[in-house]
Amino acid sequence: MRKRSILTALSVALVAVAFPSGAQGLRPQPGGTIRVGITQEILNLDPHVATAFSSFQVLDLVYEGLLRLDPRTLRLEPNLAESWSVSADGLTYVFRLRRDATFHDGSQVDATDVKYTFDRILEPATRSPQASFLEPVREVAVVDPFTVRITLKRPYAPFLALLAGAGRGIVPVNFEDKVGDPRTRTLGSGPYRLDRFSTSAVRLVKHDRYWRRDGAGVRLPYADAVEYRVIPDPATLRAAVRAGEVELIVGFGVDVTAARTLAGVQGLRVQSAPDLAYSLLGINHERPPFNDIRIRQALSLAVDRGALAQVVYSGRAVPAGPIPPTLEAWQPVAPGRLPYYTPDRARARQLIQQAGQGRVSFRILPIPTVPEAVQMAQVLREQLNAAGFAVEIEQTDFATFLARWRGSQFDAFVSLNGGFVDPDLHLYRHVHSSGSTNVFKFKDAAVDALLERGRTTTDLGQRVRVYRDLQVQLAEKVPFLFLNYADVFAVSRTSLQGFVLSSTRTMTPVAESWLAP
Amino acid sequence: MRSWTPGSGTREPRVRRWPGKVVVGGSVLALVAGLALGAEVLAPHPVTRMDPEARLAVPSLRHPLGTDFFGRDVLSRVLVGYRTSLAIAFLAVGFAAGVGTAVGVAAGYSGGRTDALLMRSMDVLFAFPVFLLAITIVVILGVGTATAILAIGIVYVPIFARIARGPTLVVNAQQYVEAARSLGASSWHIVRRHVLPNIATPVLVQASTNLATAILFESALSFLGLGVQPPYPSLGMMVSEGRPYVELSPWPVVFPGLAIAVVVLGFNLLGDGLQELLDPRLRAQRA
Amino acid sequence: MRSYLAERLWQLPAVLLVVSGLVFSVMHLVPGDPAQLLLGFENTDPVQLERVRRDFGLDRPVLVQYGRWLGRVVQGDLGVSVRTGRAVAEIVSEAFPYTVTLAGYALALAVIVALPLGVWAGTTRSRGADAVVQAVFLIGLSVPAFWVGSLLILVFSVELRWFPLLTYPHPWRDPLGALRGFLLPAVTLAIPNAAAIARMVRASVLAVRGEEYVRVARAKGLSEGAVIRRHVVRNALVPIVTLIGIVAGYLLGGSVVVEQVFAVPGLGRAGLQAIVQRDYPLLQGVVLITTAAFVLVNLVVDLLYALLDPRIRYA
Repeated sequence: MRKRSILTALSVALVAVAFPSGAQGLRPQPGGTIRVGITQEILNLDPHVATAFSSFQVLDLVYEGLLRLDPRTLRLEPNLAESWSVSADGLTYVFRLRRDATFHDGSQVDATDVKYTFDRILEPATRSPQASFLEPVREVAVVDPFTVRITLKRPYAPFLALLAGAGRGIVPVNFEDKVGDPRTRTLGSGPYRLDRFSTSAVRLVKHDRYWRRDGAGVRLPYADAVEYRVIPDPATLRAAVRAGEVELIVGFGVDVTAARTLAGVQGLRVQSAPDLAYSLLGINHERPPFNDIRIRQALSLAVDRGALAQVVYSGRAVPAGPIPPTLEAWQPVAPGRLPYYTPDRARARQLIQQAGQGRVSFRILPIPTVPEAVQMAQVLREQLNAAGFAVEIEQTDFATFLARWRGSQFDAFVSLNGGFVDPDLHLYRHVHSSGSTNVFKFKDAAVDALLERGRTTTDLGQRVRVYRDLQVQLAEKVPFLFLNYADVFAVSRTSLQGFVLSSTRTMTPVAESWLAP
Repeated sequence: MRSWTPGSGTREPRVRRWPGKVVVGGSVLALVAGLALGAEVLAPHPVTRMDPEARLAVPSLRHPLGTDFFGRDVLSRVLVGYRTSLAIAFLAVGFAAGVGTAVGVAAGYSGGRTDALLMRSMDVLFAFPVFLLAITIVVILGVGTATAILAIGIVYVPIFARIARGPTLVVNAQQYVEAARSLGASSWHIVRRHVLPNIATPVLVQASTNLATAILFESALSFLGLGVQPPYPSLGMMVSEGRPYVELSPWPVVFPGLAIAVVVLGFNLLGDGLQELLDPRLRAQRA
Repeated sequence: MRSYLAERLWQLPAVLLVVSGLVFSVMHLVPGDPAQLLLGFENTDPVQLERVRRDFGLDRPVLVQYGRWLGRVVQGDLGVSVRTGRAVAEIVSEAFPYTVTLAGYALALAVIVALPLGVWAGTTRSRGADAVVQAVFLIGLSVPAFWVGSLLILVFSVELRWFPLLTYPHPWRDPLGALRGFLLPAVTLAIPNAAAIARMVRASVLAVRGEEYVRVARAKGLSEGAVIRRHVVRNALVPIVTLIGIVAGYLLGGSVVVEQVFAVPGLGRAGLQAIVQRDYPLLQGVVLITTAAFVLVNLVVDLLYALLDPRIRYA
């Protein structure tokens, strides 16, 4: 139950609320239905095709990867694979599967299923957004029924980290023939299986032969069923957990305001964890003025990331460097020591003048699906205008935003980039000149070279050094502005025991949660 | 979102004295309009100025109506918000009344196939789910004040078309119109001399009702993030922007909410009063 | 009468045809690509994008898409939602009962409150009472629905816990539960409509009271109550029924805001999602069913006229 949160006065109070009965050693109770409130519609349940966060809030309990991240420590640990080995050249991975894992139809999870899963993700007709992550895979071979060998085209350091999570969840051979339409029906090996599905409500029921057991040897999961209710309005979502209509609210819409209004309410418990995802001010390098590095540096100097965190997140966020402070093993550089990070309006004006620009005017598009984005845009507008920019905000609906984002048809935008535990996954696709989501059109040979080195080097110490260099380079060259890593929140009724909010926002701890009578 | 006032007949207004409602409603609106026009001068702070030290502050001398989530002055934003909301309401309803009346008169005056074609297309617009129609228009044209005006305006067009058509049909069949036509009067002349005076009153009454609903319509669009562009305020946008924090501080919602109520009340009073003025039967004869 | 009915019913498919054509041409104007929405942020392969477009026929000219869609609709197939892969007919028929129930309760509430209040305001001899009731109507018309809804939730679901939140049982299987579950959103929807109807009732009653035949009835020595019941209300009904019909038509279209605030999985929310997700087949389905409901309700209203006022005949 230890949380890794920034100890502000608020969170101290929250921790006190969070462990009212911890010392009494309540024994997990089986049975019951855990009801979860979320704000976004559940659109697609195909683990390899789904893109929405809300889909994964469900899929986390239905599908399992070969490995998983410990929700508290964020370390890789065995899951469907009970052990693995990597060849010295970093090209061959051998996984040994556990023998007691079964799919929801009762069939055993074996090596052919793993091979089928990788083939399905990489098959273009599947249209999997995961395919680009697994592109370095050359071949998946079945060694024996419970051993799989994966060969890579070139060393790919973040490969193991990629195998965790429902997005690469293992499905049985001939998955599509067995389920029919995988967008609306499921067949996984996770602790719960699908019972009812509509876009506004999903019900999962317990997988009776799920393999994982708790510390006392009791078979998981505890609760008989999990129900998701879509409650689009955040105010109603908060009301629902207060009224006892749901046991847990988590995800978008459960923000610092929810934490502030619900902290100290009888019968509720507020948890928080530092997010791996970060907010950013994206800029378009192909459009003036951002093709001029001085203007980009002026932009970075004009923004007060600390003040931004104060206003938008009520202090429950920290200024963002390129690597999340949570990932201590990767030695994130403190923002105060990164170049162009300490706010300095005078120098910003100076740089704008040197660039020969008068008043630099541009528009910011806030992403409409993240409620904080439009708030950040408003604060950024004030900060930037005070430093000699002329900024206006342009709200759009989500589809328009996505189209303009994809086509790099923007001056600037405010959005949230999902985080990863490996710096390669965290950065490569956004800032490499060939990165799949480099909509900024940022191109820099030195940055590209560092990214390549970090990806193909398997020695951890060397990688750490590479990413230290890269952090400084990114701060100097400003591909976009990393703004804040905020805290994520979850509010549960005290009757829900054992739920841990992870920095990865995973829902897997629900399988280890139970309802106190 | 659309609302109707009882269609009054085609009789000429017989003015005796101004009903109290017109006086009260008119004064309220005059006051509000004055505040809105003078917003720039009257506002104690710039509307987008943020005071991070005084976020969600309670009303005080410095901020008479408190501050919002960003520490912006609620009074200043209500004043400027009034101007935006009134501008949206007037321009949207003006657009709807202009286009709708033109369609209705054209349909009623021409009759036959033109009438059928125009009115059936109005029916289609009328039958189309209003809110989805407005959202679609906003999505096509992009979020903004001008779009909100057009979206709300288009939604209201068929109401005015229907209101204008009925009296036009009646006037058209009158003998004096026949006479004028046989004397060679142009259609434009007949419409201007005989038709427009007869439809002016029901159109005005309807407009006063729709001015009120337009302000609420804009607030509903803002609720979905499709109203005006932040950080510039409208009343509806202020209410929806402050709502998530209402448990922390009610002021950023209460005051713009009250401001909406006042102006809607003013429009409705004026509408009721105008109707009574034009249709004396509505003035209750009290014992 | 019968031929009138036949003609009106015949007009329904014509209206639907025009409306669907409108939706199709509008979707050609809307920025944003359903194929890209399906692939999301990560998948940026242009080949894949083309493949999705082809799979859903989005690569065809709009007219061809419309023709194919129309061809299927005529055979009773509303197509498949681009975003979820579920049949549009299934999604719409799931959402429709929620909207109908909500609309039904809201309309019933509005009428039950508005009729007596309006009649009373129109016939009372007390100027003060009339003014108070009118002020209440005006306040009802001037509060935003999302604001009322949030307030009702906080007071009645969170603090008092009188009414459940998020529980919307089927009205036939669980009538009492449905009444409890739908009451708060129904009240939210009913408030402005009740106010509008009551204002109309008051005005109509006042107008009729001044008419010759009412004075005659009163002169014949009928009691005031009987005059109001037999003459005033009856004759004031036509415009009232017209307004109620319009209100019913709108309510059946689903209230986006109230459904959003109360998390009612109805047609309004489905329509909003369809626009936001550029899910055109779903948008078509939602618009078709709401338009049809609107037209049919108006037809019923027209028929009611004939019942209420024998002078109206449809030949």
